[in-house]
Amino acid sequence: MSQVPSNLKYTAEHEWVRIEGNDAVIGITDFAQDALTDVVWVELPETGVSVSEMEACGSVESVKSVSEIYAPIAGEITEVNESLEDSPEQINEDPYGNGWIWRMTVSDASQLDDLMDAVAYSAQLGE
Amino acid sequence: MEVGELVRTALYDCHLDANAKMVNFHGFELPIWYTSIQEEHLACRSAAGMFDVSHMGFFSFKGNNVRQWIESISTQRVSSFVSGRCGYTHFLDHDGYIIDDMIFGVKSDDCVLGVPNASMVPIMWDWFNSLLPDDGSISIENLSDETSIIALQGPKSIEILALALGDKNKIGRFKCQNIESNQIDISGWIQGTGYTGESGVEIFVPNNKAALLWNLLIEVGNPLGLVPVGLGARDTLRLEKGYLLSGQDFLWPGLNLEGDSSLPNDFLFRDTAETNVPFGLDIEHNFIGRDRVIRSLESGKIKWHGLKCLERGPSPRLGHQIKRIDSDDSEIIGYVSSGGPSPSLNRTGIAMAYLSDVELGDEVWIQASSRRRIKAEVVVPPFV
Repeated sequence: MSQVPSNLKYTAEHEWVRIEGNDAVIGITDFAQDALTDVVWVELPETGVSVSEMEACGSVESVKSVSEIYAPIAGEITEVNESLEDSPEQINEDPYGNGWIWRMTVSDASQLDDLMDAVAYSAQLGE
Repeated sequence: MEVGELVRTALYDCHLDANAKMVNFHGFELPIWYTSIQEEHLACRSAAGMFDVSHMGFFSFKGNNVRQWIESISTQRVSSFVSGRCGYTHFLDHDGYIIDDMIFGVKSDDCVLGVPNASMVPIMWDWFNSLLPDDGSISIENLSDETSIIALQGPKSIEILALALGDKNKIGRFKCQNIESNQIDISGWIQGTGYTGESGVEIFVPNNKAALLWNLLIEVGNPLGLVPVGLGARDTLRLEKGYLLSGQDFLWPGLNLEGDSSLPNDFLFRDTAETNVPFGLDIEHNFIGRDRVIRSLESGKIKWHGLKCLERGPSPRLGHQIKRIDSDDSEIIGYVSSGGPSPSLNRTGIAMAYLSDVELGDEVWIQASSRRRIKAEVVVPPFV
């Protein structure tokens, strides 16, 4: 059974969002990393770039397949987790911690309301 | 088989017992992995792996001049293979396009056994039957549904085989025989072939004995590092050796299938010379489709080459464009047909691609995503 922390917000595409002050931190969920199995490469977005809601701005690659990562909300990318380029397995080992992917500003806080809470996301997973 | 209903092999319960993640593979419900592609791949390279390849076909060809007849429709000089030897061949259509590739084993002077690819069994059945001599001297039997196939591969595989089935069934590379008497009284066919590039065997047994053999191999092989391996690692293992995958690296035009939308329509319609595969082609004999092979050999323009990435980044995948220079405007010199991170090479990106006018050692650029181009070198497989 996947971990779904109650303090995060979720997308239907299995990204998570954690609000830290005025910023949002983005990653992929425990369910997503488990379905992908061994992550071998993470394509990170560029800092300073503005992205719109549900824009593909990076990808996570396992041995078998590649999955796009979508921006759950609109904003500007302010920091990326460059340690993933050398240690992509952090996504498997600690998807909600060291496996975070990028930090961004929040252009429109109302978009956060469109995201799922842990209960809704768990229901989507059927767990 | 009803449409939409997946076929389960005789080893289905064994896979569930081993916690396999099952997927639909050409209408068969088969394991994509048990623990992880990476782990299973490395276990097969360092110790041993066991695969359920029962989805593959199994044909028996019989007749007095059966080898000569097969030779007349195949790229391989089949008549030069004596009893107890296996070979690899392509079958081309009248225009010279590959319909399918096949491993065969010569059982006796008048019997050859062949292993067509799963999705091509009905096609190849029809193709062979359409070419049978009018005098009835050759007959074909389709043993696919009643036969389970277990592939045992890796440096420890022959040792494990001997523990399970005895020394009389230890068999060398590309040799074959009936399964000799053994502790579980199993009968069938065994050949020193596989799809991993490791030493190993493929064992053909009746469906009702498959689980018995599978469980015995696990029991005796486990202490030596044997693990079950799914289709995911089967694909990365064959990619590292530069082996063709039917339907992925070549596609018969007669199937009228829509290919991958990122590839030009006819991109996978190929003959044997274009695949550049260093075995299975003998142009000294006459065979169906030979004219196109000769033309491709003479022009030498497009060939299936290996690409090894020279920098880290997204891995090459089916349909990625290959560019001559690092520029959006560069000429496209080909496309990837198979690619991915190599588990044996610390996940370095490797690929097989049909490329025009390149030479070994050339540096080219793989458009690995809309955002990234990766520098790669043209190499000869195997990669490991």
